[in-house]
Amino acid sequence: MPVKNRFAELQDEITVWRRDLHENPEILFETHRTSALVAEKLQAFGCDEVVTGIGRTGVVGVIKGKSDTSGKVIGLRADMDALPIHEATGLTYASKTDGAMHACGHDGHTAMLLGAAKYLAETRNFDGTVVLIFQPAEEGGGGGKEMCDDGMMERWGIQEVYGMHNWPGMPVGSFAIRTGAFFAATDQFDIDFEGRGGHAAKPQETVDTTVMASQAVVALQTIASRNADPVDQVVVSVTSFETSSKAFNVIPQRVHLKGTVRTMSREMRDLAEHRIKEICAGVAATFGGMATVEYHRGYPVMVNTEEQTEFAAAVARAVSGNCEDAPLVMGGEDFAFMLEERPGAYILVGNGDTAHVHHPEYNFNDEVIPAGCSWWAEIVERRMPAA
Amino acid sequence: MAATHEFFIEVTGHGEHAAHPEETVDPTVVASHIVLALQTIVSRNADPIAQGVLSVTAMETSSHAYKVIPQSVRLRGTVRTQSADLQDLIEWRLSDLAEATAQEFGGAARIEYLRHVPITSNATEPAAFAAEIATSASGGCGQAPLIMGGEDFAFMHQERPGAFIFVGNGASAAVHHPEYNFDDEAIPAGCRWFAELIERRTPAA
Repeated sequence: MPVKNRFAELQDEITVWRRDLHENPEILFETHRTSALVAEKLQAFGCDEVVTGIGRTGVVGVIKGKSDTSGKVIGLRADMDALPIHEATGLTYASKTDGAMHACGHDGHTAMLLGAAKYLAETRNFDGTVVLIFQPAEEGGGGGKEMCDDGMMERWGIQEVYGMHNWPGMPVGSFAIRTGAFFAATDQFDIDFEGRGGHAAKPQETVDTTVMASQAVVALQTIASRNADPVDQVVVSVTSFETSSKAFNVIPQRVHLKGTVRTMSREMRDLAEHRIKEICAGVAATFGGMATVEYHRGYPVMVNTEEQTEFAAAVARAVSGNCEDAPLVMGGEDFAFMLEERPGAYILVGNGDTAHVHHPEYNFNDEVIPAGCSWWAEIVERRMPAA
Repeated sequence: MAATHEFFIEVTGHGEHAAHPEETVDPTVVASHIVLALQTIVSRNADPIAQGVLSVTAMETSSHAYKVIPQSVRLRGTVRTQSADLQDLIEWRLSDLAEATAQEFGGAARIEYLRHVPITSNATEPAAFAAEIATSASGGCGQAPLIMGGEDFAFMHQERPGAFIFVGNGASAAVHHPEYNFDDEAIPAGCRWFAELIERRTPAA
């Protein structure tokens, strides 16, 4: 069973939607036009229920199958937001908004889930209920978490959730997935070292924060090299270092460090946070200063559950003939919050040989549409087969 | 008073996404190693009897985002020395350590070293004469400690012999402090020293 014929027919129409979204990118929770357009289309397709304002600007649509003897409810999720990047593709339908761009293909994700919704509302060839989830603010805003916090899972009785992301470098329409931890937990930290500033010619009267913070930057490298289980994954990057003064003859009072931590397990995440605090406090104490560490937990580890992943891979194989094992991804994914609440799976679909996501020359490949839409439709029809 | 030199070090690595350290040469880690390595100039290379200070006073990454490993880091600082030998040693070791440390991590360091103010050193005979004047003007002349601050008068001393003297300002705030003020009670002693210096160095026939 390759792609569904209906999606070959719908491809041109879905491409028009996708390019319209591409031309009108909106960032974070500001997806007002996009959300309105999604809601309008879902209404027009004949969805049984369309609700806006879930997780601020998120949209939820409900399609009931021909029957509901299974009592199953499956959530399908797409993201709608763009990135604060100035587009450099030179496309005829390039972004009309300066400094905003669909550089991660969320235009394609939204268009494909709309395409699947149109088909599913037409055919309803399943036994159960589909909940279509369109989320804002995947790129750092935690829109998925806000939708969960609004009680979405309970309100619609969602039992399983599925998500999809296009992936440059994989053949168009091919699939890849992995069980267990898949995308990294992404945390940030701010560290302030407080010493005693003074004249640079009188070091004996100061507690030099630059030396202290440099010592800490070097010591933090040992979290990955000495504290972590070598089999586990962790990245600790100090990305910003700034002395409170920039003069050449003043030893500054404070140094501010910023950085990020990427981990693939709860244990490693806890260990990294704990060691960062311990190392900074210890180094500061060694030199007679003080360290204040603020550790901000961002997206959790995104974990695909085994049964749903096997099912999703089987569907992918049915659609495209194959499903590869995906590598671990050290980037973060907001869908992790939904997967923390319900079992489910997230899959990658090949975008061909394009620029990388988040690159100003990236573009979603419209040739992915038939395979992506078919996967969505088959997930529904196979997980909740019509009687 | 000390020679006052200033330096800039630009450490260039290779920036990339912070989740992919394997694709980067992290200039923050390199610069931190340089800051630590520079501490050994005074502790390990300098003659313990010579006086020198090397302070890295500013450090800034070229980017301040949480998830971007920056392309470069700029360090700035000062060097204070009381001898020509130590001046040369510090300048040489600073360049050497910064370049070698950067190279060790696959990065590069560019050093700018500016010799601003030279050492202010009093010539022996004029200094003894100046002290004698001070003693007669105020009844005593204390032995001044070495000062690690710099003094622009050093340039005049490079051209002509002479002496530089301190006159007490009482228990006021230190110079460069926002609450400092010159004490007008120092005026008679100061003026007397200048006047006597002239009258005794070039006595009227």
